Amino acid sequence: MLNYQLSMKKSGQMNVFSKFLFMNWKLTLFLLLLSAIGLTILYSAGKAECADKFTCLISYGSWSPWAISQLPKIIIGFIIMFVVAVFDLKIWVKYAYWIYGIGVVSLVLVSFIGHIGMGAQRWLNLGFIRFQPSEFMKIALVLALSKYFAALSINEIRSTYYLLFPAFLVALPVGLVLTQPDLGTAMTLIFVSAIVFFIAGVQWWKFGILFLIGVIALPIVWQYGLHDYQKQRVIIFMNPEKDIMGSGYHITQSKISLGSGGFWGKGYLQGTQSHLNFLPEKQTDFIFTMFAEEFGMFGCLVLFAVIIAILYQCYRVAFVSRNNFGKLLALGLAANFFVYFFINTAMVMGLLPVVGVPSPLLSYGGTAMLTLFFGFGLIECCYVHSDMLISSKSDYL
Amino acid sequence: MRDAELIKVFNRRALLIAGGELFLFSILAGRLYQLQILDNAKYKKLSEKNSVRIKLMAPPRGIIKDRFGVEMAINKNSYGIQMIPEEITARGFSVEEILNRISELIPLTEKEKDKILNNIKKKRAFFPVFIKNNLGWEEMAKLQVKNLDFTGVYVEEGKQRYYPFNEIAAHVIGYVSDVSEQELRTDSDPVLQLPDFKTGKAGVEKLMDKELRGSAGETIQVVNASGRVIETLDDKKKKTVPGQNIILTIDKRLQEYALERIKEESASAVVMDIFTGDVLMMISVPTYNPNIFLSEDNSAEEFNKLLTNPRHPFINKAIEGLYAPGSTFKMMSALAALSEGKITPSTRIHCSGHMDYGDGRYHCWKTSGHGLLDLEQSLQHSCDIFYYTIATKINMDSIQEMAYKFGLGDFTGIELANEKKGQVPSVSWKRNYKSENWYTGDTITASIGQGYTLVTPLQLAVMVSRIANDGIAVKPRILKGEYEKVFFPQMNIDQRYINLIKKGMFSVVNKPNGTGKTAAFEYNGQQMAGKTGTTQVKRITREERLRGVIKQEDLPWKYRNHALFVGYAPYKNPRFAVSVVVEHGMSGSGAAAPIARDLMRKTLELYS
Repeated sequence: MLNYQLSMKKSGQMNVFSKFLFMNWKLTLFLLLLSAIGLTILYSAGKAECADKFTCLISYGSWSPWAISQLPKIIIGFIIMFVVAVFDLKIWVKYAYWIYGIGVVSLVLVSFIGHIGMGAQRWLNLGFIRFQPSEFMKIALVLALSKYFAALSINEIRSTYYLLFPAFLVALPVGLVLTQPDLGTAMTLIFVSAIVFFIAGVQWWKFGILFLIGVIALPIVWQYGLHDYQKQRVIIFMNPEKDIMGSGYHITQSKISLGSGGFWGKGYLQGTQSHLNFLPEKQTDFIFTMFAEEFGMFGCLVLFAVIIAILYQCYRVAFVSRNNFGKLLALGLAANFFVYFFINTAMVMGLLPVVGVPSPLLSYGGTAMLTLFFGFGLIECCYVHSDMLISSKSDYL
Repeated sequence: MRDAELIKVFNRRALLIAGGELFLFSILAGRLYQLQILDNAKYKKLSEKNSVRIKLMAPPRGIIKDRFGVEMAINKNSYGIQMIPEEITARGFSVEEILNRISELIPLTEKEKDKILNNIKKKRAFFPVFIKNNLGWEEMAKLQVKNLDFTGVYVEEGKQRYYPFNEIAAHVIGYVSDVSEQELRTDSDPVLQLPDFKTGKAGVEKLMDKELRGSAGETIQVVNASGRVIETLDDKKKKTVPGQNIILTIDKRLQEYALERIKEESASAVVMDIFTGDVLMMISVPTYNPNIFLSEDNSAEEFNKLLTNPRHPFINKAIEGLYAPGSTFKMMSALAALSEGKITPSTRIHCSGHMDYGDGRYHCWKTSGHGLLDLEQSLQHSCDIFYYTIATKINMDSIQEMAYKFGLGDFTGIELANEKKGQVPSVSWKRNYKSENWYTGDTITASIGQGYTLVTPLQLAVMVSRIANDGIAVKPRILKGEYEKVFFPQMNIDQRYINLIKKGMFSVVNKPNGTGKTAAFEYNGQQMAGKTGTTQVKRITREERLRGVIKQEDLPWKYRNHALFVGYAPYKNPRFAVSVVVEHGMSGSGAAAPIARDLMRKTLELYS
């Protein structure tokens, strides 16, 4: 039976069921583990009913309001992943630019009719979900870039002329995201794109030039491109103790929570910082901090191990894939996941400014979770179709 | 895979990226090591400090006193009992058992018991649960005696607003009640968050709420992760700043006397010092007992009864009631005509009982007429024809100007909430608000204080004060300021004219056939001057006049005339002004003048 299916896999003639069987189940398992960890922390962050006016501030751990609402999103996420995985990889190649187009259009829409949160315009209200196009864009951009680079030969990649189009592909959403303004997402988009450019084979020196331009442009952007609240965040990042009760409060309290956790942590549901509500936004941006307070450095290292295992599985997909598209897409999306996690974690540790990036699959929130699962679905799809040869240039058109 | 070179580059760079990612992971791990291991002790201490919570302590509300320091609004000790279920069960008792024993001493209804048991179920076992609030000292003493039996039951001492003289100055002092949703939204003062905190809802309590409130103190509580209070650190607390005390201009004795004197009516009265503007007495009846907002028993029932009372006990009629001034306005018409030179002090006018002007016939209240009258006599007899005649000569705008000068139709600026402005019409006023032209007929009606003119009793008191003090623009006040000497500007009214008006007002009260002779009295050789006013609530129609006017007593209460009286005393060397409005009192001389007499007499007795 298995042999039969293996031969089917080689010939690219699989039915939906066998595709399902040939998914990377290790990756699925680790994703499940990470989601379960997220749900566990969201339970701890939940608020119990108030005892009276004063004790209402204390939370003891509860399914409501975060965990109960996140659980169905996780389930939907896995379903999306499975569905995306069993599509023919060529379909994703074919529609990559269309998906990118949808991302750009919704980014444009959001600046006209979007909802404002935390001083930035980020959501589209679709009725059942508050859709954040910038989250979707992270996946769509990698998809479009992978399609583009997969079709190029090494000589083409090394020619600057062939970099103009992908540079435009990056600049368009980055520009739109900056107008929202969402510095964190813009940073993520640039980093992830740079990684895709890099593994696609763009020469080192071109990154050097880009870096130089960036250094020169920085003071100009600081002067004219940033909103006051964004400047404030960077300044406070440099010196959080300056303003303990104001904007620096987040970072200071986050560091106290982390630091007081120690090696073994304060124990599940026992984090004083988070349960007495000294830690702000503990269900979203600062969920890692809450985890670190209750589970300590030990818990954090276990969490890192889970993340690394997920990344490792993505690398495996990239290495076994026999087509350039799969290689670039798997690594690009893995890089996206990593950058996401790194920026959030470094931010709550006080290593980066607080830029408002949630923790992937841990933080409460719909769009981020669903788009990430969409991305992992694409990686699974690459794995399922790893033997598929997409050789002729016409396949990429 | 067409390009072997490309794959080589890809593999190499993928590994480089992987290496980079692992490197960044090691930075994160290093940071974790730094924060969680190396600096653990420091952050642990900081987090423990964070477990300290601030508890607010209610400041005592400022005391409101009368002009002689008699405390009119105070804070009374009140006791509440609470229990901590955990401590009761720890000693092997059940909560129900303890509740039953408490109810032997302090009656608790089944409903109350259910509510308490419900609360206990909802809260965590170490949170205190209120059993009963607002207990008196006697009930408390009963509990204290048996205190040994009640471990886990605590007495909480609090302060509660109390108005020792009940209703005597309810409209001036006002009352306090629970913080409203709106106040919570608009006022960021943390003290409002305290349970049982009360804010001023009327009178001086409302107007001076911020001053009376004070600012909350803070004690520091150490709480553990589950919110249990482990320790209270008193030494670090922020001191409670008590609310500012407030001294009123009113005299409790006069207030008490006035209430007793007029409590059967629907009326209001003001006594004020004509030089300082101090309002010695301001009363509006029926009144209410401000303590009902603070007691828990039967208050809703009592409150509803007051709310539905057709005589509006919650309205301070002295500043919120608007009435046509009637004949009390004649002084204004006369002064305007004198100042404009339309009449002289010696002008005499004949009253035949009615006057025809244009298409209309205007009647004097005395249908048989007064005959030939000068100004003084016109006031004494309150002849209407005299003023109708003036009205045909004078412009309404100059009457309005004079009325404004004497404080009618405008806010007096008294430090109380909800003061009404009233109105004195003019030519342009009618055009703007009624979109009609002003006719001389309007001036005729206005000259005797009927028609569009509306004033408050306080405005009338101000008017009389400004006559009595020979044209000083005194302003009334209810808060006794720090400085006793207050300067008010001179209005520059010809002294001869004011003397003439004063003489007329003296005749009203003290001449045998004066309309206000019911107000006459003599105390230590001191006499009062004044002016009556009777204003129609319902117009007398032509048919009614032909049929013969129906007696006021035969009309339903709400159609009877309002009775007004304004006056000052002593006539020589005046010191105090009074104004009285009795709603539907039928006639100024019958209902309002005797009250004014008694109030003035009492005032003179108290202040000589």
